[in-house]
Amino acid sequence: MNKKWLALVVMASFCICLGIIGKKSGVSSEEVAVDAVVQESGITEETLAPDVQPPAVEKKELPERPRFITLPELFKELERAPVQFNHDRHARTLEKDGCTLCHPKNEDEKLLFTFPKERDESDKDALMNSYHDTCIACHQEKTGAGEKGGPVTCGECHVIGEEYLKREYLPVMPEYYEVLRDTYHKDCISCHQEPAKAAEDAGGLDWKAFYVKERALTEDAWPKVLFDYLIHDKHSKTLEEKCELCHYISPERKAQLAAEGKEPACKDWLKEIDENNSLTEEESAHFRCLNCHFERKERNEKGGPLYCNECHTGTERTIEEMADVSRQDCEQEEKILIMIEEGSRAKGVPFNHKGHQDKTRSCQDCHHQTIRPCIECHSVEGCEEGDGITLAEAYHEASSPWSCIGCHEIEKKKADCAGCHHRLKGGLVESSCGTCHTGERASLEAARKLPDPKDLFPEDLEDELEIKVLENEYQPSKVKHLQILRKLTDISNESKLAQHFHVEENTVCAGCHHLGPLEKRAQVPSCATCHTVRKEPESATPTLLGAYHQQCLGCHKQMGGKEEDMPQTCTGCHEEKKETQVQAVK
Amino acid sequence: MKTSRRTFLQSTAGIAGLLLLGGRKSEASRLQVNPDQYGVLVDTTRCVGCRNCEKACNEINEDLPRRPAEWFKDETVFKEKRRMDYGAYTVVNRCESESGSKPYFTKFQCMHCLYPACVSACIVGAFTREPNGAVIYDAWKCIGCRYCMAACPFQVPAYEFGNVLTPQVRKCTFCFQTRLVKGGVPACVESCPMEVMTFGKRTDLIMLGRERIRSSPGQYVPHIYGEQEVGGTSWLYISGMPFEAAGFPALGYHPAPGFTEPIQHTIFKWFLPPIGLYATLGGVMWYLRNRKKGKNSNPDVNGRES
Repeated sequence: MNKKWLALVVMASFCICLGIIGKKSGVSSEEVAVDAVVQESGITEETLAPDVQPPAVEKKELPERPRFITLPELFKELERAPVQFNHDRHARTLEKDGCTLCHPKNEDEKLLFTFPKERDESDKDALMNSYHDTCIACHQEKTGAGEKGGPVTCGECHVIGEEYLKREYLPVMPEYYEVLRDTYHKDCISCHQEPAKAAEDAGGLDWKAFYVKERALTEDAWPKVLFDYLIHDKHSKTLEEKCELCHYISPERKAQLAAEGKEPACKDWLKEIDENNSLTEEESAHFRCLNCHFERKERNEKGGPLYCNECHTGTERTIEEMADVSRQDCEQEEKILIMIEEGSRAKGVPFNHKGHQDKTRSCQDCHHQTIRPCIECHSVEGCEEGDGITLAEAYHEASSPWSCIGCHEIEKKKADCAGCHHRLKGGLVESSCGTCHTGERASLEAARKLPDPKDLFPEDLEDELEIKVLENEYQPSKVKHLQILRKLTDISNESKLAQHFHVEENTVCAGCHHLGPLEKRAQVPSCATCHTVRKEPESATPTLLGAYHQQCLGCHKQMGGKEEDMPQTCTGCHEEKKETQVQAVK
Repeated sequence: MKTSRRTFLQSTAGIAGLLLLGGRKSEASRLQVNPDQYGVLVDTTRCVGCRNCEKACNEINEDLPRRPAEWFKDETVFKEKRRMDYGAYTVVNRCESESGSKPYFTKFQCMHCLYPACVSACIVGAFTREPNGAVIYDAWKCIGCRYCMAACPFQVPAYEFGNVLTPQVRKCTFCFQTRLVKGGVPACVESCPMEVMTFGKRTDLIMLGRERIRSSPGQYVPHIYGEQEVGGTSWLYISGMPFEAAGFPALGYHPAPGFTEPIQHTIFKWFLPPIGLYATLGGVMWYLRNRKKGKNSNPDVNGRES
């Protein structure tokens, strides 16, 4: 009897113990899953680390990159891993078969770059089968004929490649932020929180899902080709019937111009859009460029690139590399006054179109894809064609690289400018409207070079300052005031952009004396007026110590100068005191 | 001994009750996070690598081995990526930025987690998390098991391996005894000439960090490291260079003890495993002994033992 009871007690206590542990792990199963995902991602990233480079760089300078066939709008959720398709490898292997092996031709015997030839988009299965039938049939045929064939079973094409995993789990990158850095997006994670439940306002996407979605749109494709001034110049020099080949003008307009006895000018070509030709940007570029290149090759003429990675190099020529390339003569006035309507409240903005051509890589740097005046798409109230972006936003949005202000903000991040500008408030500052809206073209003509600072303040400009307010461990710091001013004046006078915008003769003073350009020495407030020696609680204003160091070292760091010119160490600015001196001060 | 039905039920209920009491929720996640707790926001874009913080830290923490003032001006230490050790609660490391030209400095120290793994892992309670945010260590309680070192997701606690008799675990104290309780700010924060660090209420610092990121587009990586990592840390970082490249581990947002603690604490609560083990063994022994006895003895016809 006794034995049975004791055995029962022991068994029961164990059962309860196990049950509770089981319950515990049941409760935390969600956490386990999440941890597992985190761990998994960590492991994959680690293991990926050594070979994160695009895998197929085969003795060629230009990288081959696979394309992930995901087609989310048609396939919705994928049942298997997306296929990594390497177009260039196919194109080079099958060169003798020609493009028509995979791509159809239209009535005019022009290649259409769609795939497969019999593409059935009626439903998901039909589309899937049209891919499978075409690919597998060809792979089998090639293998059967003793040539180099391709995979025929599911898992050989549908591989979860390292590239895909890397893309799926990589954290948000800073360059991505550049695209979305307007005030509404803040940082992605503040809306796209994890878990997805917390992100209901953000379309139910947690940041990983959001990231994957956006990356699929931005990174999956080949890098875009920038049709820069150099490429345009080559085409217009080589080809006879230049404009018609790529640009469009409506027959009516052409007839009208012919009646007036004029040749169509650049801006006539650019204004027109072929409404019958409804190809997307990508289709249109491939259709026009590649067909022309192939035809020229068949005629044994000097043609253009035929393979993906020859155009989509992923590198872009810089403005400096194209300094000698002639810019398109677009018969646009060199200097114009941008004025939306007569008598509007804001005065017109004088604009040097030629000057901006010299400082860009292609017309598309400002004009997007269809090269038309801004107002045609971005109407004053905003319309669908311009993505609802109003004209004012198109000119002023500080977060967009397309707008005037946004592009100038990017310019201000360059080393020469960033020294002062990184601490000055950027974007649209109150009362800065008049800087651009002068209403007169003459302001473009004037070569506004800043005078030498010594000429500006002959009497009360100090050549050298000695800062000893906080003298304690170190000797007083000697600031070469005049030398700094001259250096900044020279930088400003060398840049055309700065020449135009540094209106006041004493602009460079404001780089440090950030309350504004100063007319007289008497107006310079002491730094210690606002920047107190002791830290005020709850105050975001730096103390005097912080203000001096942030001002000087911040600028030196941004400008990235040499140690002897722009010291970034303690003793670069002030020598160290000896032990006895320190104690005496204390 | 005769076990009645009543005593059996009583003991079973008692054991079950004890089990239910134990490890209902993880210890660390039960810690209340004080909304007014302190923190420090580190803006690494400002750091110029002067190592004044290291010097100030060494001066105020008398436990640390003394170093001459010249040592803190030696730039050759930047050649290697250092870690906190028994001689330093904080280190400044240099990493080359992607552009290559500008060196980039980052200060490291204990992050003072909101849900600290060291507190959870310590079996003697030598680590405690104070309501003001500091995670502090009591050398008197420490038995030197170094579980804290294994548990820390940032690999912060260091061990005084050189000291044979009274070794201690060493990590940043947030200047808890020396400054915080006296209403001061940590020594490193005060010593920084560039004011890289801002001391304040953690909630305010998050707002300040966001404001800085927002007002200088492109200058910062849009993320406050420590706002959500491992459930949040008292020390927060904003950086101009990707955090992983700057030497921060990529961690999830769940507190590290959140998963391990319920299991660990349930199993070990009230010494259950040893009690269970010895109870089983004892039970088996008792059974075997009784069986032997039963075999040896000759029960009479009535079933009574002779």
